[in-house]
Amino acid sequence: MTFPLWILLLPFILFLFVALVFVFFNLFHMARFGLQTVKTTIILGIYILSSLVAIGGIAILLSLFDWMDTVEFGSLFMLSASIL
Amino acid sequence: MINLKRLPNQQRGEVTHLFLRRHWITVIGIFLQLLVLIAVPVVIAILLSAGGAPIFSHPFWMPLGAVLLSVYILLVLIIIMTEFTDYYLDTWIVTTERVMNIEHHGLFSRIISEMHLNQVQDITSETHGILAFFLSYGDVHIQTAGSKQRFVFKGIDNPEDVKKKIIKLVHEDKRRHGDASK
Repeated sequence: MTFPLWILLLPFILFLFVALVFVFFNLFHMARFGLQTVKTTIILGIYILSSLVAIGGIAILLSLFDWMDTVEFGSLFMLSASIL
Repeated sequence: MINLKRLPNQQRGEVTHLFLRRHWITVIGIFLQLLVLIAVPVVIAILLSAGGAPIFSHPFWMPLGAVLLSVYILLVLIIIMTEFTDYYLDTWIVTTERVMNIEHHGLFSRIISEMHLNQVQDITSETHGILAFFLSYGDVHIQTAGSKQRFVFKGIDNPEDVKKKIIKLVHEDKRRHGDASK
């Protein structure tokens, strides 16, 4: 029996959405309630940049795999046996 | 954004004297936490490769590892960002008229409280621990008369100096408006 690898991406996409909501609220709070100074603007820039770097890095990492591939259930336990 | 020259409900002639945040050691703590969180997957990868686990070439476990690592990266991002936002937005403002206490708890809770300086009865500064002693950070407690209300400036830089400045402002304010702390 086989299953496609892209199934692994479904919970990840859900988590990505939640994470983006958190990033948005952090940015919103900083922009709305932060002190009106250059420092706050720099922090906002760092927030945006670090979010883009993290999401870009994840995109590169996940692009290394062919998510349309299928895997056999049996092969999962072969690894367990080899580790043990 | 908050402008110190245009505070909410600002009175005529009200000037901001102190704008306080927790000591910079808090930021160092967040940064160290970030380093530890980055080190965790690196250590796990080293241990797995040293143990000769064939996980890095497996058609299922390797993509699963990549997805888990991606989730971990996002988790670290939001933890560090939320902690820094909490630090940056927890502020205390002392003006010629009042003390404002602005606190964030997580992302969805924000508490703003204020008291007029002529209500202040007692101010205490506290420094506990070796690190706090050498870096001179600690708490300042501001107590009003009668009520249980107590403002706490947590982990601020130079609590003793802050206390002195607030006492001076309180005396000046009580001369202008009368003492409401009795």
